[in-house]
Amino acid sequence: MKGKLRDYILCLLFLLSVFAMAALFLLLPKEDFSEKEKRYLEKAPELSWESLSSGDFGEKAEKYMADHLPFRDFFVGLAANTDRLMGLQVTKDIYVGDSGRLYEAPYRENAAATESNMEAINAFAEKLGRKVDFMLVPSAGYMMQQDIKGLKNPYIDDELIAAAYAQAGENLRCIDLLDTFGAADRGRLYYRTDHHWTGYGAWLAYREYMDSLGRESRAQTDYSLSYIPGFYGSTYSRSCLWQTPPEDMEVWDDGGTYTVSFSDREGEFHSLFFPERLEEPDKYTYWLDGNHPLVRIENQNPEAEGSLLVLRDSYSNCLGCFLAGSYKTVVLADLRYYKEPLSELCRQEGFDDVLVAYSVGNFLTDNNFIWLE
Amino acid sequence: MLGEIVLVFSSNVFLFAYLPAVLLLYYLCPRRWRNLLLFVVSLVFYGWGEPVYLGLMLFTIALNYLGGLLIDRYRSRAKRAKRLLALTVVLNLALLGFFKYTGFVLESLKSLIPGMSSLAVPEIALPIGISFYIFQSMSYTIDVYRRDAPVQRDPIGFGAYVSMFPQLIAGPIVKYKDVAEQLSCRRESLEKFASGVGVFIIGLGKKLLLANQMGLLWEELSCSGGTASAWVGMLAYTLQIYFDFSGYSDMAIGLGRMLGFEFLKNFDYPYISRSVTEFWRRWHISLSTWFREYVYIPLGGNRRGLKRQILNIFIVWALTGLWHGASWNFVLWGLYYALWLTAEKLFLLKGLEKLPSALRCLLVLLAVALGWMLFYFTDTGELFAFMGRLFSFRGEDVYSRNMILAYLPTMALAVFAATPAGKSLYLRLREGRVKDALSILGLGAVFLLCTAALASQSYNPFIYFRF
Repeated sequence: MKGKLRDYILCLLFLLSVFAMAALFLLLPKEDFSEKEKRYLEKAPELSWESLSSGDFGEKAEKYMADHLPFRDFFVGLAANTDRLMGLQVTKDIYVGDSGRLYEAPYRENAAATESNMEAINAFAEKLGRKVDFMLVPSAGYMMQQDIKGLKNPYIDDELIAAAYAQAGENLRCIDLLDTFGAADRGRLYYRTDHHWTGYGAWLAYREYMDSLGRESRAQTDYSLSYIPGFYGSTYSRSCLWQTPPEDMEVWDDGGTYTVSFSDREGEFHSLFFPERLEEPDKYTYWLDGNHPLVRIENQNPEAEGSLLVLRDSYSNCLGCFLAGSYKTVVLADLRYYKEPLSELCRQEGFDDVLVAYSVGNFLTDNNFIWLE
Repeated sequence: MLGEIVLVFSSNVFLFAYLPAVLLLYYLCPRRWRNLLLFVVSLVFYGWGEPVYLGLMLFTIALNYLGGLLIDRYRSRAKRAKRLLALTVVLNLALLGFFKYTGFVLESLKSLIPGMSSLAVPEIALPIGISFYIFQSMSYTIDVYRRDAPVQRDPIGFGAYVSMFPQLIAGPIVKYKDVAEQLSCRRESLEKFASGVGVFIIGLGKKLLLANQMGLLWEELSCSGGTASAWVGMLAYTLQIYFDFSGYSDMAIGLGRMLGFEFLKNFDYPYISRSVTEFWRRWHISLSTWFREYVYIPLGGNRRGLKRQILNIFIVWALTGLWHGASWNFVLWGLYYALWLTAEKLFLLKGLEKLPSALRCLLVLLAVALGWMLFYFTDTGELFAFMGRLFSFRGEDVYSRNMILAYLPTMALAVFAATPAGKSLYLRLREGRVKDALSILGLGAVFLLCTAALASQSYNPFIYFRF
C-alpha cells in the first residue's frame, strides 16, 4: 500500500506541474519586453505552410515558449544560481565579486580587431590632418580584480590598452586612465550592477583629459550630488542573479544651463538629465537620453569657449555631461548609428578638440570603425 | 545525430504543450481508439520538424504492412514468400540508402575515380529518425517471415508501431515481436505510469543537466588547449554521448510506460564494462541485438568456423559503423570495434581476465573513449591534431585550465551517475516512507532543475543591450 501512495503522489505532482505550466502558458498575458533581462522577448510565431515546412515554425515556437514560460524569471534565476553553486562562474559572461558586485567577464585579446580599428582611427586623424585624442576606458572587472575571489580568467585590460596605444599613429595622442583610476577610490569608479562607470569615474576621466589639454576642469566640490535609488544595470540583467540588491545612481550636477539637441529626436532640451527615462527599465539613459547618432550640447554660460567632437560609445553619455561644462559646444557622435562622413562634419564645425573615447570592451567588439571617414 | 529542428523531448514545447495534450487525449480516448490516436499524434510529432517527410514515413508503413500481409498469405509457397521478403527488405534498404547514403557514395566515388570529379552531388536532407524506423519496420517483415511474430492485419496498429513517438527519433529500436502483444492489448496502470514518470525524469536530467554541460566543456576543449585538456575533453565527450543517448532512451522508455508500453532496456551502465565485448552488451542494446539477429546470425554467426566468424564480425561492425552516419569515420569506428572484439575472442580476453577489475574497467574505458574520437572527428586532419595533443606533453593556457577546474564538480557528478553506485545505494535503503519521500523529492528536484535549464536555453548570452 505504501508503494501505491508513493506512485500516486509522484504521478499527481508530475501531471499537476506539466498541466499547470501548459494552462498558465495559455492563459497568462504575454509580455513583449522583459524588465529583468532588459530584452525583447520572442514574438508568437506565425503559422504558414512555409514556416511549418522549413522547420522555422518549430524553432520559433520553442523560443517563444521558453521566453514566455510561466515563472520564467524564477527558473532562469534558479539555473543561474545552480551554475554558480557548481562553480561554473568562469564559464559565464558575468562574474560575481565578493562584495556582491557583478562584473563582465574579462575581454580577451583580439589582435585583428585592434589592428583594423586602430588603422581606421589613424587614417581618420590623418585625413583630418590634425591631432586627435584617444582614450580607452578599462573595464570594471580589471579595476576591481581583488574583489573577485572565485575562479576567474585574467583581466588583461592594461595589455589590451597598451597594444592599441602602441599602434597609434603620430596624429594620435593617447590618454592613460590606468594610473588615475588605480589611485582613486576604486569601489566608486563603476556601478555594482552595470558595466558603465559612475559619475565619479567619468569625472576622473574628464579631469584627466582636461589636464592633458591644459584646460581647466571643475573640482568635485563644484557639483551637487543627488541619488536615484533602485538602479539595476546591464550586468544584473545578464547575470540572472535576481537576488542582487539594487543600487543608487549618483548624479553629478554642475548647475549650469545647457541646450541639448539630438539628430534623431525633435526639439531642444534644457537639461543634461532626462528624468522621464527613470520610468524605463534601463535607467542609465537618464544621462543625456541614452544613445543617439549625434548629440549636440550648447553651454549657455557666456564665458564658455571652445568646441569638442567626441567619437564615443555609451560611456560618454555620462562623460559628455562633464565635458559639456568646459566647452561652448560639445558634439557626441556614435558610430554605431551615425553613418555620415565625420570628416565632413569636422570641416563644417572646425572643432577645437577631437576625442575618441571607448571602453576596452566596445573597442574590441565594435566593428563600426570602418565607417569612419 | 539529431537534427536541429526536431521536436525533442527535452524542449518546452514537448514538455508543456505536446505531452500534456497527448496524455489528456490518450486517457480520455476509449481503449479501442488509442492506437489510432497514438498514430495520429506520432505523425504530428514527426511532422513538427519535417512535414515534407511525412509521406516517406507513410510509404514505409504501407510498404512493410503490405509486405507482411503478402508474406503471410503466400506462406505455403516458400519460394514466393522468400522473394517477397527479399523485395521488401531491398526496398527498405533502398529508401535508407537513397536518403542517407547518396551523398556519401557519390562523394566517395568522386574521390576514388578521377573522371567523376565533376559529378554534382545532390543535397538530400536526412529524414529524421529514418535509420530507426526503417530498422524497426524491417524487423517486422523478417519476424513475420520467420514466424517469430504474427502478421498485423490492422494498418492502424502497425502504423502506431512504426511511428510511435517515444522511440521514433532516437530509439530504442523496438523489435516488432517484443511489442506485438502490447499493440493489441496493453494495460495502463498507476504503477506503470509512476515508474514511467521516474524513468522519464531521470532521462531528462541526464540530457539537460549532464550531457549538455559536458557538451559545453568538450566544445571548449576540443579545439584548443594542451595535453591535460585533451584528456579531460575526451572524457567529457565520452560522458556527453552516453548521457545524451541513454537519457534519450530513458525518456522513450518512460514515455512508453506512461502510455502502457514496456520497451526493453537500451543501456546498462556501459562504462563499467570489463571487456569491449561486455561494453557492447551494455551499450545501445537494441541496436546490437538487431544486428545480431538480422545480420550476424543469418550470416552464419559463429557456426561456420573461426575464419567465417571473424569475417562476419567485420561485416556486422562495418555496417554498424555506417548505420551511425554516412561518413568514412563511422566505418572506421565500426572496424575499430571489430578489431577489439576479434582480439578479445582470440586472445585478449584471457589476458584481461588476469587483471584486477578496476584496471580492466579503465582499459576498456580508454579503448572506448579513443573510439569516440574516431566517432567525433569526421575530418582526419582534426583527428590527428587531437591525437597529437593527447600523446604529447603540451602545457595548458590559463583559459583551458580554468575550464577544467570549473567543470570538475559537474564532471565528478557525471562520472558518479555513469556508475550504478547511486542506484545500488538507493536500493539498499529500507522500504518505507523515508525511501518514498526521498525518491519523490529527488525526482522533483531534478525536474525543477530541468525546467530551469529549459527556460534559460533561450537566454542569449549576447543579448542586445543598449550599451
